[in-house]
Amino acid sequence: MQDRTVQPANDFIRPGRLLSYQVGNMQNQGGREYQEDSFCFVNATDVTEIKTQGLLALLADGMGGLEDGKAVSETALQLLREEFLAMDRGGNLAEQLMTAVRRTDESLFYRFSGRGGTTLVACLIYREKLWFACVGDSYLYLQREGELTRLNAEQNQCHTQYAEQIVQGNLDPRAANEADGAQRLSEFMGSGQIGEMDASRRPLILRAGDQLLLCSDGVGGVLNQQELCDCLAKPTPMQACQEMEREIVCRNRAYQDNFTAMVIRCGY
Amino acid sequence: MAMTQCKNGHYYDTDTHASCPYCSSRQPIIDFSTPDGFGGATQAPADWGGSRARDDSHTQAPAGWGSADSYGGRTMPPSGWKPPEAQDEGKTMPIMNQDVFDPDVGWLVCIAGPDRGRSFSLKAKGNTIGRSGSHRFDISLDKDRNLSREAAVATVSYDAKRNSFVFICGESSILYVNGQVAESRMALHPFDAIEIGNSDTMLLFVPLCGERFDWSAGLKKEWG
Repeated sequence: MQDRTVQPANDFIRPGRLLSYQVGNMQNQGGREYQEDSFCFVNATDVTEIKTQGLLALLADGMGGLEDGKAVSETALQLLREEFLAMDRGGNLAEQLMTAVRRTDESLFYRFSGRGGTTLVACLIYREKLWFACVGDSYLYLQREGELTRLNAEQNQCHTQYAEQIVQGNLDPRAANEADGAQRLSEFMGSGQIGEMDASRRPLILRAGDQLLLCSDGVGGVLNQQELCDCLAKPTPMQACQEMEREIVCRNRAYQDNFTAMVIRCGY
Repeated sequence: MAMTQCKNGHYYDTDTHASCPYCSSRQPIIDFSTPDGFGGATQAPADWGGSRARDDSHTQAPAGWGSADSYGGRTMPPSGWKPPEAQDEGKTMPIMNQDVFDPDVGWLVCIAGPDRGRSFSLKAKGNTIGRSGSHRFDISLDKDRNLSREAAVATVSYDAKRNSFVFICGESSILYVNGQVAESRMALHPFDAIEIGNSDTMLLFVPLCGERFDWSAGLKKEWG
């Protein structure tokens, strides 16, 4: 088990002192013909812009088999970057982020005529707070005090089916997990009609030592939480990402999916 | 490490990469399909697909979306998912013609006048006849300068309930049907000739929908 003792080392907080962020990323095509994952950071290197605009991290896993997964995931990021830059920082960022995601979904639908789709994890960090919005089955983790917590629920058939089961009083998740097409998405960007989205209505206040991990199912579905924690223990986020990549490559899994990870580390 | 950010928001180490490795298409491709052997361990053949069927760690192909083989466990939409119809909730949205079934129900063929030889499709609605300019008309007699660009000369409507055509005069010209001054509203019959008073244009009405055929009931077979 993990050591849950709190390390007070860098935890003294001076008023007015702002968190700073270190980032890392990795991407690999795995055993697929195409790379359909896309990711991007906005403002991660510029301290002034982090202060005035905030930091945005986006990860999109384009759906293969539909029309050009890469084009859809790239377009989604492009549209969201534009939305992000136009946001009113004084307003309700949770609402603006959700609206931006819905608008992007609609634009993707009209641009690709509903023939392409992508998952999305969007993290907006502004003034030490995190807002996020997720669609599909990509992962968003928070590591705090050594403990890794998944912040989003995935929108796939098994999730939907289990929710229906719970309403009927059946709490056994096995039936839903083993159902046909359990891993198929129930929601995705580009459908033009996102019903369910996993998004924060109120921000999560970030602390020094927190690490955020955004990853596609090529990472989250391969490495378990303990393995991810081991990777995140590396000295820098970039090294943590490289460690994840190394781990997955070592697995040598047949038909390894595209995999992408992004890490944001908060500190002083 | 000398970390830098490329214009697309990717981070990379300039000590090991001259340009962003994530922007280029030359990403490392690892042959995951051939497991490495360790010291004589039993190896699966390269084309072994056994783990594929059980590989449910990934989102999977929806039923009914092309051949399942081509998906191989990639991120997929839900089974049975279809693109929704465009919904116009007061927003400006493109019309996606490919999703709407909008068949022709007949034609108007120009047999005299500057547009002689052209034919115009009639749709199951009111088809306006005029000369497009600031206004758009369904049937635009572009070469006939005697026609107004402002108002429709006439409208030919298809009445789907009665499976018949109605001719409605516009305000800008006097019109003749089969040589007689047209009533403001009258039924059209196959091969009725429509003349526009102040020009040489003559349009011949050629219906598709009628006694023998319409799009809901199909073709009425009078043989066998």
